[in-house]
Amino acid sequence: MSRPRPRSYAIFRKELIQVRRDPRTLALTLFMPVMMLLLYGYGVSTDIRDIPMVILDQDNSPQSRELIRSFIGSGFFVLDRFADSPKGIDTELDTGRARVGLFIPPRFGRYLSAARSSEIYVGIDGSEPNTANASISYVNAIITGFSSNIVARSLQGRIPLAQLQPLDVQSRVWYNPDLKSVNFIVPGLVATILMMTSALLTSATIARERELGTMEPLIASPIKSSELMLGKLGAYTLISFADIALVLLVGTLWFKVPFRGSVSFLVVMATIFLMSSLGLGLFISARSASQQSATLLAFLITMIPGLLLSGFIFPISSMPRPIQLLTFVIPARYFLVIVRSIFLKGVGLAALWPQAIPMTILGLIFFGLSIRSFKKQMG
Amino acid sequence: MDECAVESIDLTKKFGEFTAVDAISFKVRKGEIFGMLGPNGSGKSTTIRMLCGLMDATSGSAMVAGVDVAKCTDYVKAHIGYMSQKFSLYMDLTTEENLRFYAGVYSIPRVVRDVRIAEIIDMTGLHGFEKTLTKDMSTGYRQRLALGSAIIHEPEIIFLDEPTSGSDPLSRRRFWDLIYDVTSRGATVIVTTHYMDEAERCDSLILMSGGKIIANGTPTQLKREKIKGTILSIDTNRPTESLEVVSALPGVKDVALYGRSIHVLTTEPDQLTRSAEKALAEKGMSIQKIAPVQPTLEDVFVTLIGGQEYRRGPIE
Repeated sequence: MSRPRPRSYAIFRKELIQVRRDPRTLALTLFMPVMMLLLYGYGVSTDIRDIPMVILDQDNSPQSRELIRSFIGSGFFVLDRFADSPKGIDTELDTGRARVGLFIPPRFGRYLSAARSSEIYVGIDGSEPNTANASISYVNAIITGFSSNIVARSLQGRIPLAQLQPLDVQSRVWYNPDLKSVNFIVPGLVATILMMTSALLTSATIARERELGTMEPLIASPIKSSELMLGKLGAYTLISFADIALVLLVGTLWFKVPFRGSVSFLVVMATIFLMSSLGLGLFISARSASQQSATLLAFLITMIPGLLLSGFIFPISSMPRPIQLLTFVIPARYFLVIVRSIFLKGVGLAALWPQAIPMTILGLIFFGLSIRSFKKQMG
Repeated sequence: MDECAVESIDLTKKFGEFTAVDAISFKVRKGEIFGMLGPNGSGKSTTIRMLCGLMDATSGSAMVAGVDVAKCTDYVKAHIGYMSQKFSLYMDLTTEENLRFYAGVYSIPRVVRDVRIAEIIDMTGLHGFEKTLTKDMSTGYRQRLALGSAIIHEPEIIFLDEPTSGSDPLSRRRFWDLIYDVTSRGATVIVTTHYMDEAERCDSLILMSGGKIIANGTPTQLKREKIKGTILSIDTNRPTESLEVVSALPGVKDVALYGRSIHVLTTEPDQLTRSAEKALAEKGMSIQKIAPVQPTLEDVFVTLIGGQEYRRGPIE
């Protein structure tokens, strides 16, 4: 009639009470995600605009001035200053006052009018690869636009206007039409925050029970290791869901990040992802001598892959090959793509199974490891 | 045979080269309070941990609640209660929450649970503390709660590893009332201690030293059989120096300090009384009292383990 609740429920309930009474854990669960969200949401902007530019115009023709206008008018570049010699360009780039230097040699305009090919020189500061990459593509786009205008004009009158531009290239950015980095960062944060809090929360839990001596009566009781681990995982999964809800709310309401996918699909995917990061935390905890070393280890293990190797900050495609291979065993890598796609593209499993499958496999491995890592024995 | 709650057969535990428990054998009868007495590091806790299935024995075996611990560890764990030496309740949980937690861990059905918790609170005298956080209670209360948590599932056998260490005499007395209460309901209690007054309360005792059993029996038996001679109690104005003087006298088999008194074991009490009086007077010490006394368990302990080791031990 009254079957006892599973033993893991006792653990589950106890963990929740303890978290509720511990201000430190509570702060970690509630304030850290919001803090990170605000820091990243405002502090990190990967939108590259207003790149300072130094220009040396030795031609000083209508054509050269038109070229300069198309650079400055694009909004991607701002004029730092006009240099009066090539040496001036070097100085500006060396000091970092300018990131891009444009050198228009004499006779630029004359050659163009004569329909001869003409050259300009562009120097880009490569010390900051992200800005450099962006600059290269902006420069290319502007020059392409500029030259096609020239071609069009020189052909005018000889060819009917309708045939003038055989290719009408109109690029349109999908999913994130405004190219706002916050739209990209907030979904990424869902993954990162989830990984960090869950691993940090669980990492201390077993080590703490050992340190305080509360593990001994548990070892002396009939509870199984798996029941103990399941109870703890359950409690921290629930807490992590509160974190997801928090991040979602702040992200969509405050930062106005569009959420186009299904919440329930996100929850399912997050649960699978949590198996791996909570599992990792428990694994660390079960193997650590003290609470402190467990927390530190969890921090190191989740921070580095979570932030650096998951593709959250640096695109995986631009990493060296061996590091790229390493990212395949980092669950956050898959979850990051999944969360971003759910947010921005609104797609489901039909599109995301290539990420969902490896993530599930990793989740099961880490989860299994965590349950097996704890030996119900003393000394 | 089924009178036996616990039986240890050549139980041995080695940590590397160090032998913590050295082939010890003993039996605990059902329903008795069985005491394990010995200084720190004598192997008491290790023995208890092996009996409870917390540690594997290096060799030997143990029968607990009728089964082999090594083979039926889970069965044993469900039928014993264990209170560890290290204080082990959740400090950030209340009395009721701690009890409820252990009720859950021992799979006590919900209908039974609340009745059982009320019963434990009654037994332990923790009325009014149901909603108090454990960290806000005194050591004595915590120890009773820890015992309450260990017996929530009504185990047949209860292992208590130095359950009263660090608490005051009154709290210890209350704790022992609780132990009597538990055994009166049919449970067997195995308790380690280094308090002599607690050892006196046990139905039977083993004395351990260096991982071995050096004596066993009831407290009365031990006092009668292990003391060969008479105990003289000497009170002087300078106990420590007097001890040196007395221990050098002929006919002294053993000598130890008891608070401010010196206890001397001898087979010739009259002769020693005279020689002691003389020797102490020569050194300018005044004797307040010198008389034969009834041997205590502590005397047994000192005699068997030897004064040297005894003084190094933690016995108060």
